[in-house]
Amino acid sequence: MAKWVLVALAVGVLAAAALLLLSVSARPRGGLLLYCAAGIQPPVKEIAAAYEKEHGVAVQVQYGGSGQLLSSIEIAKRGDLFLAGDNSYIEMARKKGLVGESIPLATMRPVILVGKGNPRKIRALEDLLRADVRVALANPDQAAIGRTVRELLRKAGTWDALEKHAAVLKPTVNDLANDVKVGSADAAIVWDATARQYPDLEMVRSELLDQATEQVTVGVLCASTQPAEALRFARYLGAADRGLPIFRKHGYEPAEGGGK
Amino acid sequence: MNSRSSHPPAEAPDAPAYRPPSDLPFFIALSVISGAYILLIVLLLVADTFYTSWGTIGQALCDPAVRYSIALSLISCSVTAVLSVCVAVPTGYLLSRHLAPASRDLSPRQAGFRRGALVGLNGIVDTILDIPIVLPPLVIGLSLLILFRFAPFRFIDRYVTYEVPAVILAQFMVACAFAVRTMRVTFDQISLRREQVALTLGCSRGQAFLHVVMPEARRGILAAGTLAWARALGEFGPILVFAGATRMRTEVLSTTVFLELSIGRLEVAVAVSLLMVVAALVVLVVTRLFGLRESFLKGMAL
Amino acid sequence: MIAVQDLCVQAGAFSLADISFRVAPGHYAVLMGRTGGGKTVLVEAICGLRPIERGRVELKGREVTRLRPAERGIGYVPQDGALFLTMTVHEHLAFALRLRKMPAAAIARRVDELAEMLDLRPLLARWPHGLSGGETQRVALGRALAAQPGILCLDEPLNALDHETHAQMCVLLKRVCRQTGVTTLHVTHSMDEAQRLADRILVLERGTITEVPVAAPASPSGYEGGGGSRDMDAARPTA
Repeated sequence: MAKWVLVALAVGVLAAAALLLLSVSARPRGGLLLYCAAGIQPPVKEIAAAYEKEHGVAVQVQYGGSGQLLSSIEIAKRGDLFLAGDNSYIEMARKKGLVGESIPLATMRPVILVGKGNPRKIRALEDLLRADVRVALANPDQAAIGRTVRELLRKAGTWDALEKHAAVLKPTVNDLANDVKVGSADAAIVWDATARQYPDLEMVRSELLDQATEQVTVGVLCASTQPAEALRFARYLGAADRGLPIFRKHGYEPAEGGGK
Repeated sequence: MNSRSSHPPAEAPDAPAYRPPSDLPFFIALSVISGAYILLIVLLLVADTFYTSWGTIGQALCDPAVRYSIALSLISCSVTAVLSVCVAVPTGYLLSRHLAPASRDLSPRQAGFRRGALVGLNGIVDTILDIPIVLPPLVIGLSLLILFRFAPFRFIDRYVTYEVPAVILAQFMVACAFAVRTMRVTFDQISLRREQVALTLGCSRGQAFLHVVMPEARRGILAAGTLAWARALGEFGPILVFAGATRMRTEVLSTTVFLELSIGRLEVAVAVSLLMVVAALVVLVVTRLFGLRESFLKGMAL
Repeated sequence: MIAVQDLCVQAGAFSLADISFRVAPGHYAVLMGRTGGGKTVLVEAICGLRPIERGRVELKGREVTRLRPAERGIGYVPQDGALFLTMTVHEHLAFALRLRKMPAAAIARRVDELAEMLDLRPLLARWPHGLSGGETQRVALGRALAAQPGILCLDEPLNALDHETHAQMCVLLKRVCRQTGVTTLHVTHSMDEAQRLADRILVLERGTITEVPVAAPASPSGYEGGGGSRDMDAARPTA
């Protein structure tokens, strides 16, 4: 008998704790829901907090992979804004009729990411083809950096050689950077913004790579129930005196001009 | 007696001495295979500890988001484990007692259709219960998201999707499947005889289940509960998609690892992973001890 | 009183057809037959643990064919006793009484009675885990008799016992059944046991029941002779 009492007590405590947690976390509705690519957390977190302080509107941020976020937006048909890792996802969303107005926030260029101290002495793109260099690339079908690099190198005629030489294809740009950090790859081609998240590692710029740029864009969702408020936050993100400095602080090159 | 003493029984002739092959290689093979696997797991953890430091772990523990994440993980996993057991016990019992044996007892002559129908039903139900294990976790998350677009789920959508209940639901979907499997095996192993005796003594089927089967199934229930708990702790895909990874709201330890990884803070990710391992170890050891104590008191063979 | 009429039972590929017999109230009937011949199936059918195709079962004058096992008023002791692994001996004896919501004092009295009758007093606090074969059977018997059923069904209860315990148990069984007046159906494959205990011996062979007189001379096959008629209305033959 006593055992059942104990069990019932334990279950009761658990239920109470769960309810408490629920009530604490259920903040009043009326805030904005932003789907944000997980790699852009640092600046977005700061800007959202600043926005809440300034305008009193809470911004709930949903992190995930850009592709997965897009699927969620398509299914859930809820939320106000979509901040993707690169413009291609915003375009995809626009084609599906999910995104209306969009504002570019930052410009990114591909760079070569190498380990601390650049042990393999990589100075140029050609060095990546050396036999003693393990290169990790982004999967062109999955990440925008992959597509960008492929386009660029195809024009230069070096894509096929590099693709054959690459040790592995990874789905996201963060995976690539982590590989270099851990040491399982000697070099990878990532966005400069991503590279700056890894203070230990080093960047090698290349003239060819600098030619390709990608925009970090925020889009207002058509399903938003508060489009005016959402647009205000989007503008805040891209404002030269509000959001852009914070992006710059975190290593992003702010985009020129706002607008469509 | 006289006849015995005058003719002592003849002894069987000596068979040529025979020795089977040595036992040593057998034990060596067993130890090497299992030892290698255990060693591999331990080495994984040791490698992780080299990648982080006490400082980082301490830092992670001081972060309020991480603390919230730990609390939510512990609570949601426990709720999920309890819910899973509550569902797995009746389901496992039904499968074990009513679907499987029933198909055996029907004669081949009698109503082949009925027999075939039961066997078919058994197979279908089995497969359905295995689906959450087979599906990729991301698909489970997406499916939940889709489900909550339809009535009647649509009406509670705003309280569930991207909120804490979604965490529990996402964990439950997978954890319960494992719990059901465990409970089914447990009930399969409990002899039908004792239930039958209980029935003759005056029990209804429900009473026989409560008084005779459940106490015997205690260890199985504990195993199912801890399995569900551990599975829920490690669950990531469905939670990310269906509950989201919102800091200080729906963040659990597994999504914390993801978030830290996606901004390149590998050391913090590893530190949090080690915290998960510690939490899981504590819970598993405690429940094992609890279960051992029970069987020790009852004098049952372990 | 046990009365079975035209009973047909299906068990997998195995079947019993048109079994009929009667056991008079208070009598001790032994059911014999080859292993695998269907004795256990028959007993289960009488207890209500197995669905029957056709036929009637009457216990103590009541028709119980459609009733659940709990409603038939039977005590059942299966092979190996089948004790509840998570209950003490005391709880075994009290089980049926607690189900019937008897007051605690009455339960205590009855448990005491049973312990006395079956010599279980020193074992009351023990778990089934460490009991010997004979002790297990006695506990199973006590559990079955607790609620004073009118019918007792024993499925090969003395199977695994050593010679001495076997003899003791035979004496015990005979005494208990005389004392309580239960009608008993005892299944065994040992003619020796049957001769010792039975008022009547029934043989189940190839799906039919025949009767063998008690204290018949032991012949090699052991089952021939006597009876041959299918309807077992006859009362106890004079020894």
